[in-house]
Amino acid sequence: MSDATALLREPWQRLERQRQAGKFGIWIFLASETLFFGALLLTYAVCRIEHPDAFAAAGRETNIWFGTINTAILLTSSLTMAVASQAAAQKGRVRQLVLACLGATAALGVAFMIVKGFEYKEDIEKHLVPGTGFALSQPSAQLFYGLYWLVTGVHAIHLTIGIALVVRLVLLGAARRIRLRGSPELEVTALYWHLVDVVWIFLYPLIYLPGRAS
Amino acid sequence: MSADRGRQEGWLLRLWLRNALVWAALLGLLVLSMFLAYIPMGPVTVTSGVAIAVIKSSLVLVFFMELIRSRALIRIAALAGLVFVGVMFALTLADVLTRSGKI
Amino acid sequence: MTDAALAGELPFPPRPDYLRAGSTLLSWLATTDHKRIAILYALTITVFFFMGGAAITAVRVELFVPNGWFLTSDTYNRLFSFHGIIMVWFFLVPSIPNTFGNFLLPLMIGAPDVAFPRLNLFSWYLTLVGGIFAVYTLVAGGVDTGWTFYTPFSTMFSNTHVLTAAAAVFVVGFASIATGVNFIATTHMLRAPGMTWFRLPMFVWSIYATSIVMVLSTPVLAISLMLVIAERWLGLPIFDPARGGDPILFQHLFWFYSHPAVYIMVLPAMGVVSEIIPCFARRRLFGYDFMVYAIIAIAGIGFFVWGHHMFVSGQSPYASLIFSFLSFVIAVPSAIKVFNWTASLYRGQISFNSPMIYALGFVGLFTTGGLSGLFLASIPVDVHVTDTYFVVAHFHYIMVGGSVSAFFGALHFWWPKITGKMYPESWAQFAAITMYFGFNMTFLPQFVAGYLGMPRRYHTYPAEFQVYNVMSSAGAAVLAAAYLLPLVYLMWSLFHGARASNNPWGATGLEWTTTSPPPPHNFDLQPLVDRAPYQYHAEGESAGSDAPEVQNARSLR
Repeated sequence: MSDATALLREPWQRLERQRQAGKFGIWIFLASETLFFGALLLTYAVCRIEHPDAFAAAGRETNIWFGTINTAILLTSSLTMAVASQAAAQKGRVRQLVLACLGATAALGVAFMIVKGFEYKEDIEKHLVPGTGFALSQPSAQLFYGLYWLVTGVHAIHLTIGIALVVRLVLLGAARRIRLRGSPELEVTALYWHLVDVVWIFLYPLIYLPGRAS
Repeated sequence: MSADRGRQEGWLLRLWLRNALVWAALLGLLVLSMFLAYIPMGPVTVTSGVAIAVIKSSLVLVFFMELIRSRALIRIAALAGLVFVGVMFALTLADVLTRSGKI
Repeated sequence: MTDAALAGELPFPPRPDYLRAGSTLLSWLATTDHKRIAILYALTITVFFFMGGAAITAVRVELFVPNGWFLTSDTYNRLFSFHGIIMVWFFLVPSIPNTFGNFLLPLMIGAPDVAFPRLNLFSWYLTLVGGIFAVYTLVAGGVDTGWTFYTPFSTMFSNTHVLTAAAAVFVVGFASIATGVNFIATTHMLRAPGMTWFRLPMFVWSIYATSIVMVLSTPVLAISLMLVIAERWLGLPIFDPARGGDPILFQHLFWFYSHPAVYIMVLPAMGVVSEIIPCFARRRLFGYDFMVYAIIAIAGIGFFVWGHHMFVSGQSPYASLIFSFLSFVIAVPSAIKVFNWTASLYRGQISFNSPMIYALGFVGLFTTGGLSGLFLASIPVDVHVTDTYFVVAHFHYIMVGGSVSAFFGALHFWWPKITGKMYPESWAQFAAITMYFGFNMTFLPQFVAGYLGMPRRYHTYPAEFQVYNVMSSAGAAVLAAAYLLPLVYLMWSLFHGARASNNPWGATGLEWTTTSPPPPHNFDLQPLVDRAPYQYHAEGESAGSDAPEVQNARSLR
């Protein structure tokens, strides 16, 4: 049995076609995700247009260091993921490299979640949760934090799914249950991971940068 | 055998170099956007943050997600999401920005 | 001698069809065969259809009399909300795409299955989970927001089970997205050799266009409901006016999905009708290319018109103007389709089999619904009739008169292929005609009542409107009978119906060149396509009695 047949699934007859379909399928899903996060960003944009001052005041209360460090962590995880995915598409002996890069990606994802956890803890201590006892006086600042918790929460859920998918590949690959070289699943996981990164790239200036200049 | 290994190390180096370059640009832009946020320029400050996010995400899309080497079909799928997000923003903001009767 | 042997081919060894390829419960619940998943969907949505129907039966009984003799206001609100939520998301949206789309799309393009069979099954389970949330909502006491979940009522004031209702729709939305991704990838990647884009049957085009709308609009519905859930459950203010929130923004997000959702419901219906009319008129589909462009245009422009639901919401008048104009624009491709269906009948040899009666009914009712839509696209008229029964009648003409008629048309057209059995034709014709008249009896009076000012969603009304409501309720009884009839004679046909041949209607699609019912992987021989669809007669001639030229070159012509 050749390597190609090991990766082949119903209803495909050729691995190349299956790979193309998987890649195309995940891109359609990513287009759908674009609308998903796009709708959240639109909500943010409308609220910010209606309450620019409150958003500036609220944005100033976020911790820019947590945000910037986390952005750097995610960008680096995208680097290791890109190397893993591109190396797996090569002909050479790449198993160790791919496994190492995938492991690093998952570890960076976990690091992001840990930093985020510390940030959430600080936010709760500073009473930045909307509702009674909210720290800021403008009522509309609560809109900012309503969106903050929601958007970062949804992003964290996406990232958790991403970490689970990457860890799955690492475990299966390390146990030689699947072949990582040329694996359509690795390609699809990588694309999903990068999208979660792209979402965060947009969240960074919207959450951490408002109101810094005034 | 050694020639084979040499060839493998060659592409390995190129692989890392190519991606590390993109990564360095991304981190540079991150620092730049943080820096710009502290300079009071009114609406330009807000725009700079979003514009840099657009550039950064384009880098990820084009190089890390390999749109640069993808077939037209994949690019169209990627574009479709962006186009309809654009429609959603444009028509909703057509309401929000003109609601008080002033344009 | 069999046909195959005459053609110089060896007869195939006997193999079970997809229905007999396994009979355990697990062989159904864990199946990845698109045809079996279609059956699972069909059973699920039938249950939901009759649940939503039961709710509206109570509503119609209540409206017999002006003063609310049967239900309390609260119960009434919950019943019409449940009716709307179930009918929109658990019947109409999955109806044609997930049953007939699932069953026919691979067959029509000559593929052994959809691109991602396990995702397909996953999507059914998601629908089931969403359905459980919806049924729980009902059992626990219901929800009273209407199917639209408008804020701030849904977030701040309603004391009913908004959370589980929103969760139900949220979950079933992801089933929609999964199905959409699957169908788009299938259409692109699995077409048989020779099946070029402009040889695709219109039904495939319609499912493809529908899938695009599903994939790009449903996530926005998910967000709008998630924001409602976040505000109610987690106390995160988004739409709270006291804290500067913008309730109208919810309407933008909601209608960004829910207007295209109308096209999710009606585009597949258009696809069905485009298959049925050429077959029973024995004519080529008039203007195939323009039918394709029109369906793509409707799917695209459908995203630009949602603001016409918000003319009285406090939306800016400038935005209203833009949305009004765009809403008129979308009538153009819809009109192209109606004219082309009509032109396809010209010089045809029309036979009024039951699928054809449903299809012709669709054309008439869709046109009525579409033309009344033009009234609503015009701002001054819309301001007058907003939230009246005029609107209710309008969208029921599109969604029930259009989509449900086409659903039943599809059911009768492809029933022999799906089950391998023929149903009693005269009963079917009787049901189709009853449905047409029952529908018009129910909804035509609502146009008048609405235009005279009867508001929707009230269970008491001035006595002057009683005559219209009595007509409507009486029509609903006829309509209910017309919906129950097929349930009886189609069930009967499963056990006592005559065996269906491979191609009982003499149609041209690939699905008719395999056995009825098809084998598990659809075709014994990979189909080879060498011509466009709908070649019912020689080009430039009127309909004759020639045998149709099926699309499959491997089949005997």
